[in-house]
Amino acid sequence: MTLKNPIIGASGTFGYGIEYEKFFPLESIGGFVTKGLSLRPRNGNPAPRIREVPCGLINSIGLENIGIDAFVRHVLPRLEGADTAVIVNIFGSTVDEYVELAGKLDRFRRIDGIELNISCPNVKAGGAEFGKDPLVVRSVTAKVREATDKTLIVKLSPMVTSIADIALAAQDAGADAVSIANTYPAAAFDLRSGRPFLGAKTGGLSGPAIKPLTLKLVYDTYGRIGIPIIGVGGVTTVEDVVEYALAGANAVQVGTASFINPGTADMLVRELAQYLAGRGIRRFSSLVGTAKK
Amino acid sequence: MILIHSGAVVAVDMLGQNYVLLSVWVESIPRFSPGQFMMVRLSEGYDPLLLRPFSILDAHEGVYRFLIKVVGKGTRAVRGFRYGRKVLLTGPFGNGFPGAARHGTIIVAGGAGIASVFSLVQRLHERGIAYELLYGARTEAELVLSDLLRPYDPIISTDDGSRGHYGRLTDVLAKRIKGKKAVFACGPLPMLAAVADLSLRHTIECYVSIEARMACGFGVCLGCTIIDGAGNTRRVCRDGPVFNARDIVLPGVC
Repeated sequence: MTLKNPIIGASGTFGYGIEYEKFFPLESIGGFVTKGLSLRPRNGNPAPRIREVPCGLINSIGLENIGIDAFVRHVLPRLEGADTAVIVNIFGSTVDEYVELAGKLDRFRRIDGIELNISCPNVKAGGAEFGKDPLVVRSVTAKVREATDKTLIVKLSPMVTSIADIALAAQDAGADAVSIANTYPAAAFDLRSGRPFLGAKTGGLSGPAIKPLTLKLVYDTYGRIGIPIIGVGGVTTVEDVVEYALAGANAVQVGTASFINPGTADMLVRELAQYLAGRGIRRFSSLVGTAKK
Repeated sequence: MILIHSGAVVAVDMLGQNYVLLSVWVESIPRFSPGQFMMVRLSEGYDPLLLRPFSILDAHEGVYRFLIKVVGKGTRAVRGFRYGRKVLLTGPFGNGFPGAARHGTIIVAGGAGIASVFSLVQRLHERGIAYELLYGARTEAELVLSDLLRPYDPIISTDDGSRGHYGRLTDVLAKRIKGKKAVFACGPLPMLAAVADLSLRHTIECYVSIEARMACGFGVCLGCTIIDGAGNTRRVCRDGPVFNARDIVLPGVC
């Protein structure tokens, strides 16, 4: 999979892609990652599911999704004409489910890549539990690798002792890239009721608040692995994109910023081109990891 | 149609202690149907981070008005908006009130709920379509739009009797619902539940506009999902905010 530019719509904030066609032509961005899909549809967590905090958003959606079958039957045909990378995020509660999901997607030409979600903080089984131990990451990645020839991206949890070790395990098992990282486990409480704000009690923090934390994880991983790093966490402005590149990211995903302005990803593509041209930088890739050199 | 707009504040009017009437000039002049909403950015930085959904009160020659109840950090900031301040808006989003162009509609607005039915009343009035408007609140002080509503002959009620009929909106509705073709309502959930219950007992179609916290407004964050009567997920932003009362579960309605 080759991206035409390093700006990708992040899973959980970009719907199934088609929701954004009314804001900008999807072909303007490098690609997008679908909402996490499971074998069967999921209703998700009880309300309230979101709580805003200064510079951030705590969510506990709980992977509400239409299910893999509805996606390939009803959504995928509508993406046929869009000249952009379609990456499908998959979520299973067992290793076998991940393998089955990847196997089902493998035969669809329109799908460019699969992002393995082993880092969602909002589900009981699977999710972040798979992402904590390098041995488990290695095993689930290797099994999915056998099931598909698609570009395989592993989305890592930020809540680990050494993210570089986890990334290395994914690489060794055949991953083509890693997304660093998911949301951070978080909570907020209502002083009036004395109870958690969220129906699921806790959630995951995203938005500008987490950018410095995730930048550090990218920085720690850069140089330790040979496969590309996709930076995900608080990207809102073109300066954020460049900062992620300096830390070691080959591409970025835009998440919560698309809620503030649904045109953000499209805008960043244009602003990045201007930024680079204005400084005589010929290739974005020449910036990658330079903060570490 | 353009859905991302750069607007400019043209007026900020305080209505009583807790409400602001915000007028924003939007050059792109988006078309909307009554009951739809827009997302409005209330900060320039990241706190508050998200836009806020507000019903479009009305629009005239590119000036869109929003009735905003001051409840938190974001809405408090609106009071300090100056003339000319740039404001990002997205939308209009959501489904408005359906089949409004027929006689015999009764519109029920409780408190801030008037915001989502105001433009509907205006349009019915302009087209000479017969309707009744019930506008109620707990006290007179909360009937912030009564001056603007004067041309539309609202039937006013307050829970404490400080103005209009003494009692609940639904008591007024109970006396007037017979023979009506449809009920369109917006207000607090318990009120909507009572309105829906009454309408369904009279086998009159009832549409309610409901409120929810949402991050995006266009169906991707899944923050505003509710579970409908059949156990399916519905997004308030995209499948609503106006729902047929039969399709959703309101507290206390069987």
